[in-house]
Amino acid sequence: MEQQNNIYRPILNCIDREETKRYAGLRKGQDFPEKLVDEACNIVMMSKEPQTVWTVYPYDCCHACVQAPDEYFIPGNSLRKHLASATQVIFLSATVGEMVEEASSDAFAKGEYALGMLIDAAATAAVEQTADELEKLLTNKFAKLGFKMTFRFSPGYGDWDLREQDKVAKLANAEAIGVTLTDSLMLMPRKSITAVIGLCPDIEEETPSKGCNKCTKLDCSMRRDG
Amino acid sequence: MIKIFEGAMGTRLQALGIADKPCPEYASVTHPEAVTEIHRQYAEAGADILECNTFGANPLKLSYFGLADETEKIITAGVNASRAALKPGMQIAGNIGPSGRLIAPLGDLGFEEACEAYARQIKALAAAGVDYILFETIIDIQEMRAGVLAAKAVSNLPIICQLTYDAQGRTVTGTDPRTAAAILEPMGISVIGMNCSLGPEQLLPLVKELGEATSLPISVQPNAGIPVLRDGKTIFPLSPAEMAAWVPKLVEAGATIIGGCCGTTTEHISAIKEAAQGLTFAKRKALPQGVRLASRTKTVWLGEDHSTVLIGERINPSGRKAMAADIKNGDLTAVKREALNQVQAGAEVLDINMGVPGVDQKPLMKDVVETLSMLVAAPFSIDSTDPAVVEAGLRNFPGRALINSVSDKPGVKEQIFALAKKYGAAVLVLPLEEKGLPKTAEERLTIVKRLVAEGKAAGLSDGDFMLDPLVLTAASDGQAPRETLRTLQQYRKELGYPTTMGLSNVSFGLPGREDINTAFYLMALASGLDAPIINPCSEKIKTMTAASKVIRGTDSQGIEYSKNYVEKNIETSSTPTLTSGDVLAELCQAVMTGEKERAATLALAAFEQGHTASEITANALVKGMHIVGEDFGAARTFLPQVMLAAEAMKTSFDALRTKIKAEDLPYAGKVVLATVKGDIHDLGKNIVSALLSNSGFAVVDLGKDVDPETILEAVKNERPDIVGLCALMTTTLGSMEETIKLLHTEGAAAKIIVGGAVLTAEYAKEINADMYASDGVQAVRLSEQIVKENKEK
Repeated sequence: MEQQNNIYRPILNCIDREETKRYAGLRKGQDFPEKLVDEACNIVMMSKEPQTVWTVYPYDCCHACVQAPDEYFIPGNSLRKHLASATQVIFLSATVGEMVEEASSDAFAKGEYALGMLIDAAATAAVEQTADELEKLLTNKFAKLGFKMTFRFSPGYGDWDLREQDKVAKLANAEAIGVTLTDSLMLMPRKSITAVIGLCPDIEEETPSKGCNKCTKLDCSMRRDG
Repeated sequence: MIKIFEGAMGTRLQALGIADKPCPEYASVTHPEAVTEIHRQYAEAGADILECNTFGANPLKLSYFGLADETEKIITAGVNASRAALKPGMQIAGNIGPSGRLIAPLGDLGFEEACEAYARQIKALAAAGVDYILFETIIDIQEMRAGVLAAKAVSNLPIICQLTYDAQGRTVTGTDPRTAAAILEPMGISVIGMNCSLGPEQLLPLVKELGEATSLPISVQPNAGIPVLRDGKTIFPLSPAEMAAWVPKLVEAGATIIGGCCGTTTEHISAIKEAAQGLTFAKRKALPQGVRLASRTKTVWLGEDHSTVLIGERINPSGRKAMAADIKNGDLTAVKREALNQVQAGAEVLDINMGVPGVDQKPLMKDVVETLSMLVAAPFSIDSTDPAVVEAGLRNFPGRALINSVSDKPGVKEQIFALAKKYGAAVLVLPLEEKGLPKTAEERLTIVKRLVAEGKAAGLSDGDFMLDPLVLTAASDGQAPRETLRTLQQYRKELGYPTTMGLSNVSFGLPGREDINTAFYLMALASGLDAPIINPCSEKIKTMTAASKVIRGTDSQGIEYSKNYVEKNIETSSTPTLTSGDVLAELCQAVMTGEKERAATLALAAFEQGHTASEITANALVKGMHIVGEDFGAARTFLPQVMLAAEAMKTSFDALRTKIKAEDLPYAGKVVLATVKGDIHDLGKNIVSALLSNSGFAVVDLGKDVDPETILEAVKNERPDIVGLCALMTTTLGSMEETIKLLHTEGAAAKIIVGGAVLTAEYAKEINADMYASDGVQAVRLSEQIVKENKEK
């Protein structure tokens, strides 16, 4: 019944500096002009246009079937496993718009390479924060019904093929916030994501594990310390 | 006596199987006896206030079911169903839940549309005879404000406001209980509280927090614990006895009305009633003295007992042509930048003045307030003398603003006071009257006292006034500054309200204005100034504010002040400067540390000392870059630092170009660079381009999403040594392969280097690329190698 207006433009009062540095490949303890990181975060604060959209569908986990008007069968094991105890699924999309990208390119064009890189990283942090804010809203909505939410799972994670992106974007109604796909299935604006969250009853603890310590790629430059 | 609300209604209707025909509220129309029976059971259990079945009876929500036209009918039926269960001494609350949509700019529901929908719901509730308007389960303070404004506009009923908080103690859109109190209490509500989402245990600290921030009665309706789903049913774990055990603690924390939300039954209410028997209202501490302002997420206190608050003055186009022109063109970039800069410089409140000549300020003020409230957490001071503009700001600000300002101007002051009352705003009182400028402190005090009395008669109270002592220019009246300081002292002695003033006016017409301003600022602080309207970005003001906080004791033992110094010292010491006298060694080091300006200066110095461009390049610039590159390869340094080094090289080359001809600069070779068709990623290619062009390569950057034919054409025209192709996604590797195939069939001589996130050396081989570069630094190294090999051939 509440399908028609699932657009949320969250407030981001700051860009996460530490995440920005991590996305830029800067590790802790490195001597780096912090002012440049601040400047990049500021530029993204000025140019971001955070928007999110989501849609909820019943989910038949026995057949890995998302019960949308056009049924979607989840391919691959990782996402099936991720949604193993879900009875409903939320498809979502989040973006910070196109202006952040222009800001990064502008910086490169002016020969401010490091700043351009950091703007790109800050924009990535901003998209994640935008999606986090949407999750807060969704938690409020579904926790009171007793659901637990799995973490966000995006095309490209595990063996969920990136080529599913068009179906995911459609299920999320990403177009409503201006997120579209190129012929090669890339999201436009580039600083956008799509993802699925499982709504799981009957779980006392959230089982799916999130975070770098569970990942096997030990030499990843994005790996969080600790 | 602690009053008791009834418990859950929706779940009861669900159990009867009448909650979805088509919505719970419609059951009042189709099954009024069943609804009355539920109320009757709650009444029997001891509820003092019944909550009628109108939670979702909002035309916006009812429209989902095609029932918007029946709003009044559903509400009347809901109220009647509760009235039928009423026992003597009991009351009915007209229950109002969220509209189901978020208010713009968070969502797409207009603020006015929300007000109208609520007004319709409230009118119907009032006509049907409820005793309270009860907003509950609201997750955004702006929606609550819309509801309260609507309620005030169409009824005189007492208003109860309950927000829903998460475990971190904030609503979904970021409001904490203290801030909710700061915003809602001055709007004239009767009870403030919270319900849903959490159980009594989790709500207890939030009730406590609220109790310290309001003098209003507090209502709390917890869920019966945090729910779990079992066998498709939502189960709330707390038993009636477990829930009731929290009642004394909730009352002690300040609750005066208790009920239950999701998962509570008649047994829960009965147990709560019993537990509340004999309990009396907890004694609350008096609120601090002073004025509080609030944004959606933050409360700021101003006054003698609080730390100095800087009110940022820079969102003001008067005297700033560029900003005024931008605003006129609908471009708020400059305004946004000023907002961010001021907050980062330490401003806790932002003054917003939209006095742009020739622009309709009303919609502009609305726009700016909406935009900035999405950007910064500081509350605003709405700066205008036009009541219509003030209202546009106040209405759309999701917080409690300060009105800047009211003076003794008949016809206007009444409107300003009424707006402050309506929107729960504070007001800055200026001692100005129509007959002229009051010269002495005593005259100013008289005017201010008169205005405060009128404000109070209009319904404002002590926590709503801030006072301005009036700042005149020292250059035109030598005694003016002294009189301002005396006025501050008089205000403090006679009224005690927080004070504010824009102080830069004092130095008008004098040289070295910043020094005069700073001296005046410090003397004003000593005379009782609490919140200057000031440029917080001024270094002097920043330092003096920090220092004065130590003296006033608001920065206890100078902890904050010292922190600032430690940070400053680190910043200046973090770039050790090598001064060996060897200019090339110094330049090499400047490149490595990425010191752009220093590198440019040193490059010129080296040239003046007789070093040739090739020497400078080879023995300083490229050498430094190579060391950085090696460090990067060994993970001793990271890409952003490499890019800084590249920037230092760029400024050095740029500097050298002013002295010599471009063709005399060392030339390493030529590269055509592109991100392949279908791929819109720019960053990786931009990095490679930057590194190559600052290693002496001529780079022809074709951009992103470039089709094979364009690349081929560029290769034919430019005859490069190297073609660099970039692809970031698995989905575009195909087009990379296609490009390579085309280049090969057309017999292009250039070597092809490929790179990008998803590429591997194996795949590069598979698609017949000559080389694979795992990162930008390696791309440079490989390019150098290719050119060298070509030369040797």
